[in-house]
Amino acid sequence: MIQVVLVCNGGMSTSILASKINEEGKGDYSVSAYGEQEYGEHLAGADVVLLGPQIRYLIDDVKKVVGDSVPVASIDPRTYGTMNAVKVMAQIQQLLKK
Amino acid sequence: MDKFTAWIEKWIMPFAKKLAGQRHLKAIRDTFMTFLPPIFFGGIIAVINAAPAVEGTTNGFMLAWANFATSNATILGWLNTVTLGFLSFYVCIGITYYLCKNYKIEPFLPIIISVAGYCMLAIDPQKLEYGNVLGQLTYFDGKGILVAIFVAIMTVELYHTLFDHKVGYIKMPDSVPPALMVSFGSLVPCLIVLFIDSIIFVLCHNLAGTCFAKVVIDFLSPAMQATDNLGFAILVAFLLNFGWFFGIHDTVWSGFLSPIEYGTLSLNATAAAAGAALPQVFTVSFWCYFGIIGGLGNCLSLGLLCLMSKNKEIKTIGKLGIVPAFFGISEPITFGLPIMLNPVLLIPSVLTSIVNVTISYLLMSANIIGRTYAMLSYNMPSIFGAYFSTGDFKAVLLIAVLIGLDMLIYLPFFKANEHIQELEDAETEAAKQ
Repeated sequence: MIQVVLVCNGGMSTSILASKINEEGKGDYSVSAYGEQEYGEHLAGADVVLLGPQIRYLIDDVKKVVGDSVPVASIDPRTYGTMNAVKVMAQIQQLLKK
Repeated sequence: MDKFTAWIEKWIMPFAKKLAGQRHLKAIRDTFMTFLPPIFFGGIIAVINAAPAVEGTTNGFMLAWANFATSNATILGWLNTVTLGFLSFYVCIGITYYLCKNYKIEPFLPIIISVAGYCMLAIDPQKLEYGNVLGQLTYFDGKGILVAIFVAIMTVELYHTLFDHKVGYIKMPDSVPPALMVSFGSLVPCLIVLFIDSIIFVLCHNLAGTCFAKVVIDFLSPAMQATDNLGFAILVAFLLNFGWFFGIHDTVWSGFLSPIEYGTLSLNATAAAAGAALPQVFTVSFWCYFGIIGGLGNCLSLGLLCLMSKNKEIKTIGKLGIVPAFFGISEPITFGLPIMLNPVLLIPSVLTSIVNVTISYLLMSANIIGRTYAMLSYNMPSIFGAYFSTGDFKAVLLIAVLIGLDMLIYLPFFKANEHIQELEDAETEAAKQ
C-alpha cells in the first residue's frame, strides 16, 4: 500500500481529496491530510508528499523537511479543484517511478 | 496565459514564500492557527452569556436562558475571561513555543521565562493592606498583544543568541551528566532575560505608575485606532482576495493580520463579558463570517451560480464545491472553476468582499447590526457564525442579503466566464475531430 501525505494550509480541503483517493484507490493508497504546521510529525513511512496548490510556494521548505528519499510535488490547481482522484493517483505513480 | 503564469511563479511566489517563511511571522501564524479551541470555548460561553432580550416574550426556553445567564453572570464572565480574555497571555506562550521549535530549542524553559516576563510587563501590582497584592488582568486580553509578541520574540531571540555564544557557560568535567550541562548553560541566559524584563517593569512601575502594556497602548493607540476603520477593512478585503486570485492562501498575511483581528475580538469579548458597549467593529469573526461568505472569493454565492449553470462541467464544480463552501472552504471552486488566475473572475471575487465589508462595517458602526464578540471556528457557516458571533438575529438577515448581492455582482462575470469556457470546449472538440 502506498502511503501518501497531503499537505495544505489547515488540512481541511486536502482531507476531501484524501478521502476521495482512499475511496477510489480501492485499498492501494493510504492518504492522510495534514496542515502545514503539523505534517512534519507524520512523515514516518510516507512514500510521497503532495502539496495543495494554495501552499505551493512552500515546496522548497517542505522538500528540506522531508529529505531527498521521498518525492515532493504540488498538485495541479485544476486537478485539485475538481478533486480529481484519478489524476492525482496518476501523478503519484509517476513520482514513484522516478 | 502560460507566460502570465510563469511571471506569477517568478515574481509573486518568492514574495509569498518570504512572507510565509519569515520565522517570527510563522511563529505568530502557527500560534493563531492552533489555539482556536480555547477561543471557541470562550465564544460558546459568550453566546450563553448574551441571552437575547426577553421583554415581552413568553417563550419558556428564552426566559430560562435569560434567567440562567443573569444568575450565573460572574461564573460565565470568568470562564470567558480566562479563555478568550487571556488571549495575549496564550499568544505569548504560543509564539515562544513555535519560535523555539523553529530554532530547535527545548521550549519548556523559554516558555516559563516568557510567562514570567509577560506577567511583569502586563500586570502592575498594587499593594493592599494585610500584605495582599492585587493586580489587574485587563492587559491579558487583546490590549496586551503587542507586549505578548515583544516578550516572546525577545525571550527566544536573546536566549537563543546567548546560549549559542555560550554566555555564562560553565565548563564542567565530562563526568557531569549532559542534562545538567544544559541547565547550567541556560542559567545565565535566563537570568539576563528576566533581568531585562525586570528593568522594564521597574521603570514603568516607578516612573509611569502603571504596567508596560498600558504605556505601549497609550503610545500606540492612534496607530491601533487606524486598524479599526472602514479603509483598513477594505484594504484587507482587497489584499487577501487579490492574493487568493494568485492561489496564495490568506495565511501568508496572518502573521500581521491575526494579532490585529484577534486583538480587537478579545477587546469586544472583554467588553461583552462586562456588559459594556463593544468598542471594535473589525474583528476576526467580522472578517470570516461577513467579509468572506463561503471562504475567500465569496464562494458560496459563486457556488450557487455554478449549481444553476446549464454548462455540465460548471454544474459539476458547483455540486462538488457548494458543501465545502458552505463551511467556508473555497478551494474546490477557486481551483476548479477556476477563480485562480482567471482574469474574468478577478474583479467580482475582490469586489464582493469589498461590498460585504463596507455594508457590514457601516451597519455595525451605526449599531444597526450587533458587533462581533465571539469567534467559533473558521468552518462555522457564515449564516450561523453571524448569529453566534453577534447574538443578533438581524446579522443572519444581513448574511442572506449579502449572499444575494454577491450573486448579482458575480452574475455578469460568471456568464462571461461560462461563455468563454463553452467557446474553449467547442475549440477542443473541433481540434479532436
